[in-house]
Amino acid sequence: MSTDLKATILHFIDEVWEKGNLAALDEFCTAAVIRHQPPYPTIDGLEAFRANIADTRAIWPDIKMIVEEFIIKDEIVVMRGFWSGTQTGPLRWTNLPPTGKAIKVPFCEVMHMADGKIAEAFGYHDNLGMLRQLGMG
Amino acid sequence: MQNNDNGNHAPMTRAEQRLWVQQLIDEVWNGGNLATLEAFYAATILRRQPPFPPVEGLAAYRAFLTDTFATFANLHMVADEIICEGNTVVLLGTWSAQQVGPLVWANLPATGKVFAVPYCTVLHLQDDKVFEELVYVDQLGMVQQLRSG
Repeated sequence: MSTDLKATILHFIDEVWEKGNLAALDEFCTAAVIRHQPPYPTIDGLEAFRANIADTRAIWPDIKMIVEEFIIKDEIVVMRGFWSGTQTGPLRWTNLPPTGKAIKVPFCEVMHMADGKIAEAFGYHDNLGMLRQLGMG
Repeated sequence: MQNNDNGNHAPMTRAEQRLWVQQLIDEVWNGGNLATLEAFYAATILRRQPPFPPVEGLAAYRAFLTDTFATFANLHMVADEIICEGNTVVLLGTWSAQQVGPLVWANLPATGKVFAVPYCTVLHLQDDKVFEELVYVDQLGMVQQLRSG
């Protein structure tokens, strides 16, 4: 089971986040998926999550995620690693125009799975470090 | 903590790990009892909390905690969820405190403000001690709360 969940999450990263196949999101998330990533507002529902990924990819179109560690216990998947990308779109919440800078951000994600799909996710990303790499903060 | 039939040290069960890590939080982080550090952390402890430099070794860890307690009073860490799998423990929750000392890296003088931010910590254990601590805290949210108003 844990091997299946690891494969599912790696497929999710590759297909949705890196290749940008947003139509495939339904394969990986429940309709009522909730994502928390403080200090940003909670994302509630599949369409909101799809829009969030589209927005994110518009800022970092070459986004890549490297997972250094998976910790899987029953229906909970914890993964930690880093994501990288080049900021070619504006970062609106900071009023930052495209900088063209490539950054690398450590993260840890905790996902609660239901029937093999992500039902609730908690994202812990080094947003402070991200801003510093972009020349802010 | 028990020895098995061969006289070797038996690893903690998940239930024991949960109690142990809660004790770590109560004693070290919430209690500020630095005399108990050796009971929980290996001599070679490595703490990573991006974007800050790593903290390496028990003496550096003790100095880091001393600095932290000088900056933040009434520090309180709550673990809402404790996930134990093998020699890894994951903590999810909130930590709160009052900023009573300057926060140099944020260019903030002592504000006296109280804040609460979510965190996720991954602990890697060996011989019932933490040898690696990977910490993900909403530092941006903390600074936003300290600068608000």
